[in-house]
Amino acid sequence: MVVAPQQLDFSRDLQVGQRFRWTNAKLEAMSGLDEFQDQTFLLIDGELYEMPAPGPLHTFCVQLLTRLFLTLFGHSHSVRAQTSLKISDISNPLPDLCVAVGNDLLYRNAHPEPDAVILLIEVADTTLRFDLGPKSHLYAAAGITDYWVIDIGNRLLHMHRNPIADEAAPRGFRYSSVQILTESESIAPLAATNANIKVADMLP
Amino acid sequence: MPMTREIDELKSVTGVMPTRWHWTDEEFCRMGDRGDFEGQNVILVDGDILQMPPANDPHDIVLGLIDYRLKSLFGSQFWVRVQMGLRTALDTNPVPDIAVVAGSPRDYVSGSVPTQLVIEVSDTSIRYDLGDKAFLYAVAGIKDYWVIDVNEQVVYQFRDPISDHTQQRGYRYDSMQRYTTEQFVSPLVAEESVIAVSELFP
Repeated sequence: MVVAPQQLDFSRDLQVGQRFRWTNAKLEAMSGLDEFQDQTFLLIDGELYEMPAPGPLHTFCVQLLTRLFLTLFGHSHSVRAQTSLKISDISNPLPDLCVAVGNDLLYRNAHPEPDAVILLIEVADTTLRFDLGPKSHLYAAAGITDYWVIDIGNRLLHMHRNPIADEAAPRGFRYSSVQILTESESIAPLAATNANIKVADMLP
Repeated sequence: MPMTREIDELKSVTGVMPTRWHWTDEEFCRMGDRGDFEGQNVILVDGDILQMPPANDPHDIVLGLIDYRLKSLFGSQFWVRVQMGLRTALDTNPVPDIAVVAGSPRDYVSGSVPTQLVIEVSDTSIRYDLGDKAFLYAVAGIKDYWVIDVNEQVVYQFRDPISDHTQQRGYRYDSMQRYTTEQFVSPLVAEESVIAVSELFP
């Protein structure tokens, strides 16, 4: 080499080679197209991820939860399994279970916004680290007040409440109250404090 | 009262992080054709869509000058492709500023015409063009790769792509020459022709 790289002036360089940032709007324009019909994307902070194909145990657990919360909430709330939830312009994490205020009809033409969500649940079969880590920060930042992780491997429930601003947290927010419940314990959603749901009934 | 435990105590906080979406070259080209990247300057590297700096006038003027110069030099013997896709490896398409292939566009229909010369005009991406991009083209076996530095008014000429297992991609260029505006450059496929470096700048 005639010129060593350290002799060159790179000061004019703009940021190059950053990955293309996706938004919910760009994604929507694309997902209507044939070639992406069978694909489900997960959008997190402008990055697209593959939605892992759920195993039977995961699906079974989501099914359990759906039935349980449909029974609990009846028509007063919309119980939605693995549907779109735009928690920001650049994130749509497709939560496993989302309970929103009002009946299903309210969301006939538009998915619920984060402020309509009273309970969010992720079923962690093979994604525990992701659900307890990045996802909890995302949901805290979106102001989700009640976020549960069903931990199939350890047979536990991780309850996240009281999202607060915290500069030290990855997205500037975290849950200030995190409790871990064993399968012998019971829990009630914040939006239905009279309920008494056994953790064991939510585990497959 | 529910018991409170630390996550560290759990016997398994395991699990895979989701995999980032991997784009194929076909998808990338189709999205480009459809205008999904309208107004954006993007390339595909290892299935990742990467954002490049937007084009600007100084860049486009130099691109125009080299384009004209090559077309007058090569006539109809070679096709000077400007900012068109060039697949250099699996799901990798750096969309070079200039790619010169032998013959006419008609010969390209079969898709197997080798690229003789690749040129990047560099204004705000000189580090990337001399670095990562050079490795991409070395992997593809491009025998003649030029970087035209718009600001320094020099041409870097990379030749002799060789395999080198110490490099991340396994290949690099064995030689790089730097040419200033008092000097001349020649494409490898037309070594008898000379282009004054000064002709390439306004």
